Amino acid sequence: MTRTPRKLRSARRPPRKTRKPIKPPKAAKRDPLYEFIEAGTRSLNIKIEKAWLRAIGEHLLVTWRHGVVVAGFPLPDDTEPAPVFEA
Amino acid sequence: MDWSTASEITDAVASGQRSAISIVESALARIADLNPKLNAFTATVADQARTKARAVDRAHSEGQSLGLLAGVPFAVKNLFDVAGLPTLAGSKINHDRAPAARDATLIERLEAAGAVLVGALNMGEYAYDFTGENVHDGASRNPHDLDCMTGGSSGGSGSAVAGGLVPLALGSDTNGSIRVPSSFCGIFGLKPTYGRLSRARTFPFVASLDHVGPFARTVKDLTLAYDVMQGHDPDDPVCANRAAEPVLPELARGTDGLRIAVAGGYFRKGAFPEALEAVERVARGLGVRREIEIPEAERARSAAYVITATEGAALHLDRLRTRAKSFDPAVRDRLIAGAMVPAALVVQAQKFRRWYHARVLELFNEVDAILAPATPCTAPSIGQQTFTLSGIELSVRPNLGIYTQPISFIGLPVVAVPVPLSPMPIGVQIIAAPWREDIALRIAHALEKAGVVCAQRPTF
Repeated sequence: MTRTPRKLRSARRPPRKTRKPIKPPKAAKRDPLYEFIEAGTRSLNIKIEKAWLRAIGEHLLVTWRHGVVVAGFPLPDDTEPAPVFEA
Repeated sequence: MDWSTASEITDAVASGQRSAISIVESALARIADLNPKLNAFTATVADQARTKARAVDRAHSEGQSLGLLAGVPFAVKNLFDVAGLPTLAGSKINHDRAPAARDATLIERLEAAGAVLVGALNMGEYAYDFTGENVHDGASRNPHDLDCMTGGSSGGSGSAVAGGLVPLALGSDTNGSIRVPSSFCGIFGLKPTYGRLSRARTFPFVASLDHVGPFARTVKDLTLAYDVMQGHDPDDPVCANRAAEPVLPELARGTDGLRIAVAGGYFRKGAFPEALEAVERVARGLGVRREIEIPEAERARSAAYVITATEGAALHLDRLRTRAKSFDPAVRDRLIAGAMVPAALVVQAQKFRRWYHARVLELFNEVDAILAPATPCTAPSIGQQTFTLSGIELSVRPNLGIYTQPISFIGLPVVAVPVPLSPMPIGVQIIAAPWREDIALRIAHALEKAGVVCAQRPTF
């Protein structure tokens, strides 16, 4: 009696009808801050690790808060930034 | 520990009591003995120092006139170029740099006055630091309590001078990096006017905020070093084209006629009792009762914060791309965050800087000097991550400079003076108008003579 190779038998096996179709995994809810950091670092060609995201995010929020404090101060349009370049 | 001042050393060399080589050998022996405790030095340049000291002795024996700092050993924060050493700037990455071909301008000027460079000093990585800690080289240690921070980023400079390893050191100050270690280590520090002293051949951090200056244990030594380092330098585009204005002859003029006030408002908010007590002692010593408010100081600190984060990020962008894992993570993560701050906020911060500069200059029509705390507290423990300011728990690292940042932001000259509180010293800032270092130094000298401020000798 000739034996059918195992690999061949397996290849002949019909698909199981009871097997549920594989669904794509649900997209995990991402923190928009982390998405911003990932997009920003990608655009700057800086490779970061996931483990760094939290600390970078905290620093970014603190710096932004300081930036918002500065931006909240009304200044005349013609205020020259300091320092002024001298040609 | 040798507690001799720079001026005492110079007098001893000039009078022939001591040779420069014996002084330098003593300094090198002290460094070898005490640096394992203090971790202030990252390198010594013993051979070069001996050669230079012998040259000073030869000049003396030939009857040549000696410089104002003849035979004085000094050291520099390791962001200054030292010929033959890679300029580390506290980093691991810069170990790969070629050795510097030439000394920084300020080293050349001190050596032209007879001082002798003995080595390079520990610092926070790339100067983005107020603690004096360094993940690569270890924390520099505070001679008044080895478990406490020196402050940073010029931590090794504070430790080396306060610990008696050298009487004189150089550091840099972008947001407080001379004044914070001066405060924690209980010594004098001068952050001159922006553009007064050349930064040529130093590793930068935030070009529009970077200053360099000296540390010492007496006001006279601070002034001696400052005087010989002044003068235009075409190698630093920011260095002002002004003639040297020596202050030493002015020191003894005292404070007569000077109008001095204490900074209120923001500069009282969040300060620990010891910081307020130090300011009170200095004010009492000067007979000052007037209080003045520096307008929008808190916003100025915010603007300095934004400019620092973004200019620092721009400086290191390529290293962040290629060597991110070689940074101290605490520095790297702040720099990466800084790279993603909108440019509009940065421009607004620079515009606000112009406005704030004009308002603060108006104050100097009313007063000649302003007193403010240098730090909100005495030195925290090494490794301490948070403290509480105004009831809010904050990170230590970025917040030790809350009182220094609004001042360096507009380049005002400041002398940090040490108030010898127990158990730990703390500094007070004497702030003057641009180009008036003389006023701040005169006030510091008067306070020192009155015994209100002094660099106390530690026991470690």
